[in-house]
Amino acid sequence: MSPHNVTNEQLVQFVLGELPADQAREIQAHLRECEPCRRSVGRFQSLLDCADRMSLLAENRHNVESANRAVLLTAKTQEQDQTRRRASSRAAFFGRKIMSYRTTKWAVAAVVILAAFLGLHLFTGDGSGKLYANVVEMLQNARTLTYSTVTRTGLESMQTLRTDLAFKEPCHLRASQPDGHITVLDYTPGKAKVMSLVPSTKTYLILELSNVPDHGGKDPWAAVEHLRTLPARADEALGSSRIDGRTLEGFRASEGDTTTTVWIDPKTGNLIRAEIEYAKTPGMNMILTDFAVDVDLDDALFSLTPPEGYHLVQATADASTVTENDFVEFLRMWSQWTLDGTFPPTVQRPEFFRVAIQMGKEGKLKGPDAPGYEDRQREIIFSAMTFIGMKAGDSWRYAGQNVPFGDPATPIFWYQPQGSPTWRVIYADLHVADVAAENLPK
Amino acid sequence: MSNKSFENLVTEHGRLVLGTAARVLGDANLAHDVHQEVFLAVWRRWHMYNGSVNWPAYLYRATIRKALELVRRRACSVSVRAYSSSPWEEKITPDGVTTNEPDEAMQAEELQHKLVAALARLPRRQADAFILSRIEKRETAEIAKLLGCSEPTVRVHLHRAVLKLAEELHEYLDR
Repeated sequence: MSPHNVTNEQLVQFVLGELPADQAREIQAHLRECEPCRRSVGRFQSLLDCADRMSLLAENRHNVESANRAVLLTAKTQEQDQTRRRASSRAAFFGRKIMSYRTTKWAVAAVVILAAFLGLHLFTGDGSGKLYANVVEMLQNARTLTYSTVTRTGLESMQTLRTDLAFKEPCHLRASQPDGHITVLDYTPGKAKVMSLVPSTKTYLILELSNVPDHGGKDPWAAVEHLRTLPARADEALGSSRIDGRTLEGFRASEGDTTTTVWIDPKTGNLIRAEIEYAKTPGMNMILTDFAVDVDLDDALFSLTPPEGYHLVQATADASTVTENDFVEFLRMWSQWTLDGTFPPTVQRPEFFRVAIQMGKEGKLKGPDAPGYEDRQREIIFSAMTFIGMKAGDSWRYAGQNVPFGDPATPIFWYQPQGSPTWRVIYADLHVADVAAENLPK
Repeated sequence: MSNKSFENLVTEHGRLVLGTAARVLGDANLAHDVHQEVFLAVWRRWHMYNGSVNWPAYLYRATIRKALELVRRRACSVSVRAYSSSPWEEKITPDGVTTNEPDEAMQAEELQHKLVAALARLPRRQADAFILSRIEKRETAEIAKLLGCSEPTVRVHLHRAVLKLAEELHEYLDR
């Protein structure tokens, strides 16, 4: 057997003991002659030995019982907050959905809404210190809440963005910016509505999503994976620090690529400042200040009347009728947006919209208006994200990064429709085929 | 589903979650944190689950994800494995001279530390396959059920994981 006949894959199979005896003997013979392959096998073996050592650690019963007791105790104390939690987790779910539906300059507006929802997340965490825990509790019980955010966008054209936010139970949200851009969000079980006034284009935008299921898909995996919760408690107490002439106590919590730091005044117990950073989007961060809890907010604040001269743009999606075609259409549109004709690097929320910001910043997009899509683009993105969130389940995989439109043999997305024995595979020329599980792309 | 059934879930699978996290992270305190995070995340969504959840599959995947997330979060600041808090890079010999030659046990610890960090950078399915097969010592057929894929797919993920890890860690594996 010459060196060219032995693949690394075969060497791995050899070390794992997966090869039939005759093939294993051939490899053994080959190894006697081939130094590079011997070295590879040595490496694989050392790696597996290392894993073997790790596998030896066993938890004793005492540790397990003590951890179980601790978790049950915490769960019990959280029980009374369940109803409130459900409302805010639905809000967060929908928040992520609308987070991701536009690109470039639109995305900046989306960041604002994200800020609001990250804000909401802050309030569903569990404290690691009493001070932190009290703030969390106060915020959880808040009927209304207002605060301001300053976002450093990382975009050259708009380096910082100030937004004032107002939240009112059960799930009303208003975000307004100094230039008059206002977004109002209204969520009721099964339905969500976003209204926006965009002064720069004199647009009155209404997005509606109906038949929103109670959670993000029937498979609980879909809910958990897509709705990744922020940490249950602060990871770290930062001690005190002088900020704006006050001595404040800091706490830090991380989830995924998002790190949140909160600063609390130990004298009053009030939340003074929160900072949010994203590891995957350097240059973008958000500072939340001017928190006010339970101030009276008029319902009128959460409705919008478009001024004279504004034109209405509407997009609706029925979560129960959104189909694969909506997603295919989105992929087609995106490939026409990018200068190099490639598909989006990711379709995963919430990364999608951050990537979109980054690409806009780097000049990789032609702009938000692809020829032929001017009127429908919002609806298309909106529906596509709804499809991913609700119809593609947990099983979907996306492989379209750096793939240009056109090749009928390159798979870019596959998923298993609920109840179907086979998979649907979308290829780079956007034809779709039914494929048996064993023939799926690796 | 009732509080009682959540209690049963924790009692029944607490060892799986804590043990897996401890073996991956090599640190009892961090494993405890992962155990809390995994079960409290389940508790917060308790009203969403119907009766057909494959809990071992769910909990294995969630535990591995949380543990590796923890590794990623701390990659730049605190060393994850407890033993790595001892500065193996620099050792003081009896005559007071600094040496940077770690002994064998320390090399083994360093390798484990690097392996976990490399696992945290692998595609999720590959990391799942490697951990379940080589650290949790599960059979391929069982892993296929846990990950919801076919046995050949599990093997492909495992092979790719071994190849990538060996490539990334070659300077530590060659010693």
